[in-house]
Amino acid sequence: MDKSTMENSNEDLDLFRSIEYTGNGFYWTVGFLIFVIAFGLYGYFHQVLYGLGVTGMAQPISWGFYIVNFVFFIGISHAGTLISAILRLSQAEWRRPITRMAEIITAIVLAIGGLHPILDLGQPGRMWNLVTNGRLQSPLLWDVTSITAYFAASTVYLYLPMIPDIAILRDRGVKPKWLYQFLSWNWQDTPEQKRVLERAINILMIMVIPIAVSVHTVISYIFAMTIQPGWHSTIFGPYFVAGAIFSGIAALMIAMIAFRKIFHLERYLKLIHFQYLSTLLLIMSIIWFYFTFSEYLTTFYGNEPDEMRVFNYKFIGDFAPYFWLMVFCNFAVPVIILSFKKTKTIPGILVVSFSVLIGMWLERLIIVVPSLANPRLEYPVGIYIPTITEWGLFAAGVAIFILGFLMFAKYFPLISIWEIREGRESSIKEVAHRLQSYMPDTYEEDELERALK
Amino acid sequence: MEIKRRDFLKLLAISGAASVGGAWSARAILDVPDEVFQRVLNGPRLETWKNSICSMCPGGCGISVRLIDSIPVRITGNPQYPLNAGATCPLAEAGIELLFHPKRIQQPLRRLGERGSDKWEPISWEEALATISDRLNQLRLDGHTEKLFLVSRARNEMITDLSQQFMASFGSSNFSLLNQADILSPPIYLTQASDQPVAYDISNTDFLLNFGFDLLDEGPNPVRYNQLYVQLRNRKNPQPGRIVHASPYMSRTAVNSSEWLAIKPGSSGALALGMANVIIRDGSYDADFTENNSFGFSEWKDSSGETHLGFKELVTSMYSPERVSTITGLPANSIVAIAREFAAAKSAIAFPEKFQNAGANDLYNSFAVHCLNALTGNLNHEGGVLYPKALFAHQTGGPNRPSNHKHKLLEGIYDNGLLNVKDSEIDTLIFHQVNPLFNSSSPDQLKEKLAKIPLIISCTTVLDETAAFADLVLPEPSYLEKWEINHSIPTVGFQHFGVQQPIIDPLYDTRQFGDILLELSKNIQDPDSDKLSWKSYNEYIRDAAEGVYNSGQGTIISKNSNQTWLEFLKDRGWQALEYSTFAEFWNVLLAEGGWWDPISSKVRTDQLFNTKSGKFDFYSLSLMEAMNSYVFSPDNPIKNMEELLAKWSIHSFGDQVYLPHFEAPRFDSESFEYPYHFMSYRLITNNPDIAVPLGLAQELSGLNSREFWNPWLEINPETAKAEDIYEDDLISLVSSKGTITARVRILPTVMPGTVMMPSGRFGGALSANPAEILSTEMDLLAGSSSQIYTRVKIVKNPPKEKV
Amino acid sequence: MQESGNHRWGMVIDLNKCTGCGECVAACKVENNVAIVGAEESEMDRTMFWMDIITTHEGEYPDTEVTYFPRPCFHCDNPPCTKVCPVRATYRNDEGIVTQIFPQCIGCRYCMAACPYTVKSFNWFAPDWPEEMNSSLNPDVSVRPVGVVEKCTFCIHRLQKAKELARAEDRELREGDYLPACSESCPTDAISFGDLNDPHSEVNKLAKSLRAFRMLEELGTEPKVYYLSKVE
Repeated sequence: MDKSTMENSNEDLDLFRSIEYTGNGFYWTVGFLIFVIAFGLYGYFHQVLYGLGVTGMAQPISWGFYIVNFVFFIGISHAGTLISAILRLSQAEWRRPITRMAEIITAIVLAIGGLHPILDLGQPGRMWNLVTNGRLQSPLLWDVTSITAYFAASTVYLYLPMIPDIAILRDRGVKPKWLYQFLSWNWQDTPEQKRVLERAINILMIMVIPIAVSVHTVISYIFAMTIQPGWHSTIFGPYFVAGAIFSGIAALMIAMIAFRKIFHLERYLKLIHFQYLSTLLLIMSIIWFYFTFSEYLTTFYGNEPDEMRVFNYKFIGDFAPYFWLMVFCNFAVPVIILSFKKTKTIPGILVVSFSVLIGMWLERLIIVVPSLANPRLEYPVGIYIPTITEWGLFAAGVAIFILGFLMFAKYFPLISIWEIREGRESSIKEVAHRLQSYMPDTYEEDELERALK
Repeated sequence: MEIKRRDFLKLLAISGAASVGGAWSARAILDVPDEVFQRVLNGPRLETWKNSICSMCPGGCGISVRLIDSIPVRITGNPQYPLNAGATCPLAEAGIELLFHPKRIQQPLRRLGERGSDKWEPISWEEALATISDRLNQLRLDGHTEKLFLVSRARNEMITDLSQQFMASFGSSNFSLLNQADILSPPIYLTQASDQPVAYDISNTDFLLNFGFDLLDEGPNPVRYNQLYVQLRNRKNPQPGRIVHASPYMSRTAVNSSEWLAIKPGSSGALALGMANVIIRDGSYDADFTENNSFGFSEWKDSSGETHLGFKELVTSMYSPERVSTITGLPANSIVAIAREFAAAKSAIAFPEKFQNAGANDLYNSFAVHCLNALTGNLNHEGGVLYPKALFAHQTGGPNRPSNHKHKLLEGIYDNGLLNVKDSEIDTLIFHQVNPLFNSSSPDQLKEKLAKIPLIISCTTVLDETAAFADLVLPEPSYLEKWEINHSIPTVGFQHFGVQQPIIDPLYDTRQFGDILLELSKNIQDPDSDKLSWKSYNEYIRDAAEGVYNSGQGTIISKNSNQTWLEFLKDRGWQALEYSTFAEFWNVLLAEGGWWDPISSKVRTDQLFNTKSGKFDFYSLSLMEAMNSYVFSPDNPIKNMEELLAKWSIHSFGDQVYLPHFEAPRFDSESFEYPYHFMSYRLITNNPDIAVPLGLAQELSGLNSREFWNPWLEINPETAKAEDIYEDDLISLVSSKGTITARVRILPTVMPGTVMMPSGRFGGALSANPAEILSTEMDLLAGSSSQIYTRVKIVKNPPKEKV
Repeated sequence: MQESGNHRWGMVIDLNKCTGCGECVAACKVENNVAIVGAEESEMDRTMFWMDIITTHEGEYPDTEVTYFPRPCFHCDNPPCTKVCPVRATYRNDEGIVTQIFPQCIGCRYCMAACPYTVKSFNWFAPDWPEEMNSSLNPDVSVRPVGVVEKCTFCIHRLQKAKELARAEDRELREGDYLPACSESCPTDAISFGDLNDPHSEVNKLAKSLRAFRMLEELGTEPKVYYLSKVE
């Protein structure tokens, strides 16, 4: 090992702590999470045995928690792309400690979200019909395609940048040796390998962005392609993508704050990273508000009877408490707390992130249920009371997410070690050079150019 | 393929085991239920059809039952049966559910333990019948045959006739019918002193004024009336008729009319009299009729020279539109307009309110309404009130009344008649297909009464509330497993009868009531008594059919049963189809399902009246006679007419008592304590006679209110606002008799200050029976219990034990 | 008259003749083996009515106008539900009937969410009839399993039977050969049914009447159930 490597390996011991040290807390947490997941699975088993009647859904509200959580979880997955791909693309250096966690979130949450429509099926055993008889005309099929593509892309996009880190772990002799041996794909840190990796990551980085945008757009199309009041709106595509990015950042920050605390990563995840991210969060909050306001003003102004029934149901009817809570959580709280330096601290940011997650979950609920509860024909307004099965599976979904994250942290570094090192070693020079190129040219540089021509 | 009872039960058991009810029961994940497997395994899927008559309500629609491998699969209407022309109501479709219901009684039962403890011992028919025969013979020996009471249901069935004959031959006149379907005879008796059945010629009328009878949901034949109403309002030639419904509630019948007039409860008679006032003053009444065919229209002098008030004087002096407006709540000019429309119509019908929906002044209301028909000359002519002949020769009265029954005004052997009988006067009480402990409005008092009766026998199909109180329970087959002749539905203008035959062999060890009576009659040891000689009930009804065959009239229903066509043929000398033997006639009758005579012979108007005057009595001498003779009857302790009138709560006096007039309704409590008025109404899909909630009927009952398996309370928006009640709230109604709890529906079809509730049997968690809180006010003259004078108060947020 | 494949089956409901009795609803349930869900499930709004009745109240007491609308599936010619089904479990056949293929349905309920008329029902549990009716199911219609969507099919099984009969008798399908249970059972003949493409059929004539209208026509779903508005 050369000197820099030695330095690095001593410097970044913190990053290996989660892998090499397993405390009691870990086992207790995992145990608890498994219990929650088992409870949820038991509920699902009941559902498969007896039918979807064990939920609170009925006519006309034939979609409930499962679809809400489907949209919610998939929404959170946008964190990965944004941070990872867009920041990488824009060469934002502050991304380095964040990208890995963002990518992890995407992978896990996509799996959870992608399984939710299966939870919602009346005949899950017939899922293969989607393949044999799938109709590309149906937005659900677009969903299936796009989520599969995104999942594939983001898993690869998670894996590729991890290869150097896995090699580091292999070289350190972390157990289980065979795992790291296998996954490191014989990485030897040669310039040739580095070049190929760089190429691959760059290609993926560009591919992943449109796929990610398509995923949530296509999910919004499930609603927007119907002619139901409250759903049939052209704004849904961008609205959902913005909302997804919004909730994704919030989820990412919660994960970052949590692991920073647990594994003492304060040296890596500094206040500045959170401040930049929370600025993004604030911007998304304002964008979210802009879309929401636009949507409802249009509805209100048009005053179409069926649309207004759904509108009133949200604004002053049965759903009013949820609606206004959502606005408070998604707009009031972020704007108030994040606009002032004094409150833009890590505890403040944590509060905002939770608030946004709750608000965004409510937003999904408010999109799905009111349009179904208010049929166009003269039927009484529907009532939806989720049952313990649905709550259980919701809790299980969250638990799987946390568990997935924890298990990942057990085997792989949460912060991309090689990228940190790269940043330390070469980025400062690169950035300085880049900044220099922005500055106005000096007379000497001008002459040199002319001479070379 | 014959399905034996044993095999059938196995079939049910196998399919039952695979599908236990309830949301959390074990269900197979397999796609195909056992039933289909059974079907595939068992049969060649042979489809057959059998005709019969439905008995889910008294209407008697003809049905055709589709059978697959001899299992009934669907009940549809018999397209040839003239009453319902191939249609049925939703309740008919639930007949199969009743046929196979698990709560059916499968063999005779004897009570073990206390009455009502629901402990039973199965016994044989021999034992059961021997018990009863012994008792009857004992009564004979003791000379107390009148201590046998038989209470049956008022249906248009021949069993009523046989029951009457049985009772007569045994020596008891204590035979009564509950839930009288016969709603029209009291006013006919008052005005015509005859029990002539009436028919209303709805198809040909120009104007139908319905004073509150919800004909589309209950009454003679709801299916037929649904059809008649629609035909009348869509008629092309002549132009459509107009239908106006005057009632305190906008029922489905009112919705299907051209106009609904909201009138206060119990004021239908007042409205009729107000109309009469206008018509008389306009001079647009049928003067020819009033002069030549009526009595008491104007002032008259009796044999002692005393002057008596006439209809004209009473009406014109006391029933001005202004006064009637305060009584009914209708604006005076509406009354004038309706009266003029009624009189001006070429033909018009005033249809009286159903008895049990009228108030404690029923009799006078329907009296007034019938007088309106007479006044405008609508008696006995096309488009008005018609008088078809009664069908069966041994009946002299209304078709569903016992044949030797003189009109039993004032004697109260109607709904709660039992309550008026002294304990010592009843020894043995037989209930046949009636459930007064559920339907009557004083079940607790009735229970107390029943406790004192030595022997109670219930002959019924399902173990209902009344049967649970009996000592002996005799199972009757359901209507799909028995023989019967159903005939002469009231208000239908032609003679008809339908044959009910078993469409499936009886599933259990059951016997028809007719067969039971014939068996009992054989066992009565008295060589002098005229026994009933028929060997079986089947023979009894065949005899009746043979009577019709011998008369040569009418025809078995067929595809060409079209009235005008048959009349056309008759005009040209064609006779009804001839059959060489009665046996042939009978076979064809069974195959087709019924018989009818579309050709009615006209009766001369003056032949319609059996009154002392020989004419239509506006001033009812029959009522006068009945009342006077009651004063002197040995059963009556009050020998003073004035006191008697007070006892009957009649607030008028003198001549007015025998003329149609307005008696203020009697409420059961005071309005300051109980501010709202409570009434119940019938849904076509829910018949309180049916002892178990049938799934199909329960779900269909909720179509309009979207409240399934449970009843609900309908309230006007104004009233709801005043009480701060919202849609779907759970509230309690408290009357002086009891409390019930149900959910609210706010509807503009209900009068302010009124609460409406559907009656019937409900099977959900919030099931409630309005009879529990309905008052027991009676029309003391006619003996019917009125159901619309209950006052209630509303209690919000009731305790949740029931929910 | 018309060759098979050129039919376009439609219905006309005369609101001046419908009395709201509910016989169409009952006949449909019995004919098509539609489950009776029971008291508890009914509380939760899970009743299954292929044919339903919508009651509307217009105006205040005492001048309220009450109308009963029998509401089957409207078998739209431009159905929103078939567009969104991911597995072609619901599709519009070439005679205009929007059918359900029960074995194909995966129970995602997207079609239920997409239908603007909310006509579809779902088997939240395995359909269960009162024990006593188990043996009395109609053998002509399949019984659905748990977890699939179902709706009015215009009694397509009766169409199949009518076609077979016509073929056996070597003739074309005639008007009146094929009627769904609701149309056949209506006591007042309020529901007419037939081939909209046949210029001589009753439904063709009635659909062109001045009184004819369809529900939510402005949505462009082209429903094939017409209503004739009330007179007077």
